[in-house]
Amino acid sequence: MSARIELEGVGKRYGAVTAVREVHLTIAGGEFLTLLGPSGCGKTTLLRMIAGFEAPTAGRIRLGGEDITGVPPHRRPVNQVFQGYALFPHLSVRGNVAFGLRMRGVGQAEIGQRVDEALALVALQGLGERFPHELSGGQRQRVAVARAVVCRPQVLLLDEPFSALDAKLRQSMRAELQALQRRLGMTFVLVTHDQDEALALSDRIAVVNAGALEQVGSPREIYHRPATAFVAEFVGHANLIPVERTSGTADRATVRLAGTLELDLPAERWPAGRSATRAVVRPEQVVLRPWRGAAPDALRGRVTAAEFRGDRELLQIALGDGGGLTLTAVQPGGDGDTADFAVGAEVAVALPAANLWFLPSG
Amino acid sequence: MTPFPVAREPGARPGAFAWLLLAPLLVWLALFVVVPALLLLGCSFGERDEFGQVLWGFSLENYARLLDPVYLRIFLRSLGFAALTTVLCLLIGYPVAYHLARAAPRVRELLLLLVLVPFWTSFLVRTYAWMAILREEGLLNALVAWLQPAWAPLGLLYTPAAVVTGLVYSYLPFLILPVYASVEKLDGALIEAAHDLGAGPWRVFPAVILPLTLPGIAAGVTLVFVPAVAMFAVTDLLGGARVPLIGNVIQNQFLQARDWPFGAALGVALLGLFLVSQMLLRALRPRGALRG
Repeated sequence: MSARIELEGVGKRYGAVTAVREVHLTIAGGEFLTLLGPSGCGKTTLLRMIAGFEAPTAGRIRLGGEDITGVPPHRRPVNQVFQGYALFPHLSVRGNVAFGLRMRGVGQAEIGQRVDEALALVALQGLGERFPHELSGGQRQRVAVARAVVCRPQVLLLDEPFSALDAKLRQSMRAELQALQRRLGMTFVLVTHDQDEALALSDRIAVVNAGALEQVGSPREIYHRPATAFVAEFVGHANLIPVERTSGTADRATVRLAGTLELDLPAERWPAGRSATRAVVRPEQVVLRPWRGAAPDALRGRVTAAEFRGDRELLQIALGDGGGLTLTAVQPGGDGDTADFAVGAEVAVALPAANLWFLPSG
Repeated sequence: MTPFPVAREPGARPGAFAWLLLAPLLVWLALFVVVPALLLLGCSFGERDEFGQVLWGFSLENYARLLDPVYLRIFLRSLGFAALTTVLCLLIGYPVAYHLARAAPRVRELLLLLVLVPFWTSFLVRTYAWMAILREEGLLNALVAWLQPAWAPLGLLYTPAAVVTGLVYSYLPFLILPVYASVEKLDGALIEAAHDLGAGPWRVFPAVILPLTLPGIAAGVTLVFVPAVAMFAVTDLLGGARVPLIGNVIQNQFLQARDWPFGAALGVALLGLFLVSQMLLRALRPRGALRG
């Protein structure tokens, strides 16, 4: 029920415009892979090429080892949940879910049974006679999912399936979708621009930028060990601090952050062959202390803005001697008793070496 | 100050401001549609005197005359011609409208203009132009004479074919425009979804495109069929007196025979036919949301 997808140098050009350039990617059978990127990055074009709506201008697409590059969409064992769902307004919920089976010439009795199963799978029993315009947003999404999975595709493609839902519903539908994927063991390829969605749902994330893959990895890898500045800044919030290697031995490296703060770390954490790069520090990894005079492990900063978010507080900190750098830090959202970090307060910003990630490129 | 009206819940009653905006239309409809229709209905129960004056009264005499096989045959022939015209308009117009709506914006504007250009000249002038094309010394026969001299001249004018040609030509834009509007509204993602679910090019049309453009087809069919049944100018000019249709008969009763009550009865019968057919169409409308 689930097959491996191989993209071998897949590219797409529209005249002089390159939408996707030479993508190599293997998606394992049963994997939940997310194509994550900003709008216009080519992630939707990639999905449409897997679905068969767009023909690649370069490369091959294989499904379970079989070349499907030239196979039209209606002959691919691949189904899609469309952005906005594209439910047929003239058909009832049952009619929508049965559509794919009718087109494939499945017998009446089997259609009835499989539609019932699919509706049960998405908890829509009893709504079969409704029409799409009589359903809520969440119900429509479930119909779209049922309509696709009832065909038992090798791969389910999902194009921004949560974008039409409000924030609360999005959370619960996300959990539902993940549970469904685990239960079916089907290969899922999701396209989204929402990093939270990608981090929460995926086995692996492929970050797409300007038509190319920036990095492919597990959510934790992507978040904690971004390959490029783009990935670091697109997924979560990242503080990027210039850093250079000043000296060191074979197993220890000494680096200087923001031109002032000297740190000592194991040499293998420093990217090979580089003398300078940028360090990534996530806001929650910035350690703040009230300023009590210069310390060897901390930079001097001043809180310039504070944003209360309920469970946490986002602080903007201008570094005094960091060449005009501003960092974002996160503190647990207190009840106004964090006066140590009020706007205008002087703070010591510690950046423990263990919390730093050094970009291997860019 | 009442707020400017926006879309309301279906079934909501229009407010005072809405009535004010509707008033000109309502007055117009009352004066030029409702009153004449009532006059026609009243007249159809009357009689004519020997000078052609209407004698108002109540008699079903005129309706009894409608049952005369001569008139029944003309009625049926008119319906047949109109139905044929509608089918031909649909067969020619639907593909045109579909591709028009799916064409690139610049091409679409140009093609749409071509559909509308005929409206810039008088309808009668265009029908006379068809006479010039179809008559024995006409353009078409000149072409036939050049290609296949043995066949010329073909008697094209004053035939049923000429009448249907003229009707199709006249009413084609009335089918293209509403179908175009409904195809344009059709969400391309629905077509892709159908392909995705296994529908090949030939199955997408009956399964998705046709049912979703049905409102446009229904509007177009009504706009073609109804006037085509009652048309008299085209049938007069291109069909001569040889193929009288109901429109010609009604026109004759009013203008030549000066039997207004009988003409009125024919008109009322035609009107009744449309009302019944519209009610049938409504009853057959599917339940799914085909709303604008």
